[in-house]
Amino acid sequence: MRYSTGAVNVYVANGCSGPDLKLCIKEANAFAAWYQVSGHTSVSRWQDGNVWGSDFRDGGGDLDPGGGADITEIYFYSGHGTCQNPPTSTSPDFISTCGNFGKPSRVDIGAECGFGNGSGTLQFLFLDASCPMDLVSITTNWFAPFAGLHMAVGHSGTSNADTLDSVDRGSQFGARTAGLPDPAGWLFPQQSVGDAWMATGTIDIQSGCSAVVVAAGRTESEAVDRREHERIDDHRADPDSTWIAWRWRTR
Amino acid sequence: MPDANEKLAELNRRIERPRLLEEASAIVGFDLGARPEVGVAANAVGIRSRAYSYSRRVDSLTVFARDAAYGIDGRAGAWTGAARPLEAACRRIARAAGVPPREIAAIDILTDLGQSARRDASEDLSEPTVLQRVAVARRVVDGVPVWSSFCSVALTREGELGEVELHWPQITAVALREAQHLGELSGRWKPDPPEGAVVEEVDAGIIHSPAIGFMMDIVPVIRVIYGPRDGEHGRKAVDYLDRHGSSVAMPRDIDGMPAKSYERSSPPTSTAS
Repeated sequence: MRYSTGAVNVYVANGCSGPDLKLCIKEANAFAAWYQVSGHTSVSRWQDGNVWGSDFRDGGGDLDPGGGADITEIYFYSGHGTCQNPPTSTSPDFISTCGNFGKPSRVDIGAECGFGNGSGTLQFLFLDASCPMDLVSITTNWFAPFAGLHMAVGHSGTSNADTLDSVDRGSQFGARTAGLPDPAGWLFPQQSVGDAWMATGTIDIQSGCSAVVVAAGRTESEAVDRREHERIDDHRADPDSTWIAWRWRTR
Repeated sequence: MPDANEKLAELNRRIERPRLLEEASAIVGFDLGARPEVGVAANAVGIRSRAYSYSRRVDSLTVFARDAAYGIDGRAGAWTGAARPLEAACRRIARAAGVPPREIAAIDILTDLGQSARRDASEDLSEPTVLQRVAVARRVVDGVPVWSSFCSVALTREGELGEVELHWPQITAVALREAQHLGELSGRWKPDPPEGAVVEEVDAGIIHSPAIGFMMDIVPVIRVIYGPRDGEHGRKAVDYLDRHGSSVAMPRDIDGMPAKSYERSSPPTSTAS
């Protein structure tokens, strides 16, 4: 499988509101290391100002061969998101980059994203960006991105129940999903995307914050089956997104 | 003729097999039969049969065990009942593995919930379904929180053991003493926040390498959590500091794969702002 990572530590020096983060790049590097030792192929590994809002915008850069999120099967993002306090059923979800180009840096997921459509190939979108998947507004924001996309992970929270900057969360998620070669592949747990995110998405988060995984399917049972069982190397066909099913675990 | 490394691997397997069988039985109650497969790789060893697997790290008190039939829609299902059996199983397994009971600060019962929606009726949601409940123990040593340690226990539908992950590395007296010193500092000192942030919490404790990994680092720290000044930016900035207020080297699990350092060329017109 081909994967890309985007990690943003620097916000203030690039003219965005802060604070800066310290662990996103380390986290993406560790995620990449697990995928590399498991035989996957890195496509783009952009950091800081080289991660652009347009990389996530359907028709606006997500197919950019230089780093769009929709040109690989797997994309891992680590950086800020935006948390409402509290969100409502119509609140948007955001990815907040701080790019040198491809502005605006803030991406409205429900209004601007669609992955896996046209020549897009993204199957798994891993967002470690705080509140990009608020439960109360999940049906408002998360049908649109599933245009061939299989699964996405993120968090639901508020500014009082948020994720903390972390290396382990993304690294351990990478370790459990990459499919390590045997015997490490059974000595260390290898899990479905959903099980792995329930176990690791709850690392370094505040009480009341939730790890959330969403999957799509033509039927409800297909969406549920993907949510529970799909692994990155299952090579399942792209789903029709008539249904989405989601699962969450709250700290 | 096997080479020297293969000879060592075979010796490791032969020596570890009876130990692992005994541990699997004593700690998680799994009977792996007479001829389980034995695996040895890097810093982990384990045994597995069709029904069960049990493995552990050799550089840390870290155990993984699983009944293959366990799972939310597995043959043996997953526990959705009361908290008490989960808590009891968590304490029992931790004790059997050698965790001092006084180090269990609390056991959280976490619930996995599920829901679904159809695109053309997305406002007509069913009630969330409880998929499973799991117990996760938190750790404290002589008053010092060890944030990276945990013992996670899941049960089958009938209350049999389904899955265990225990990561409880030994904390040296020296590390503990330093963490206690940092605790004294953190009560009397407040760092300057970075731009765009306010100090939300200052605490001292111990962090260490996570459960899956090839290294085991243990680091006493002052942890500073910053809230966003604008109140909206999510993913809170955190500093992990030593007694001088300098950032510590974070515990490792795998050598990270740094990205190549070069500037991305400006986008084609269609993707520019």
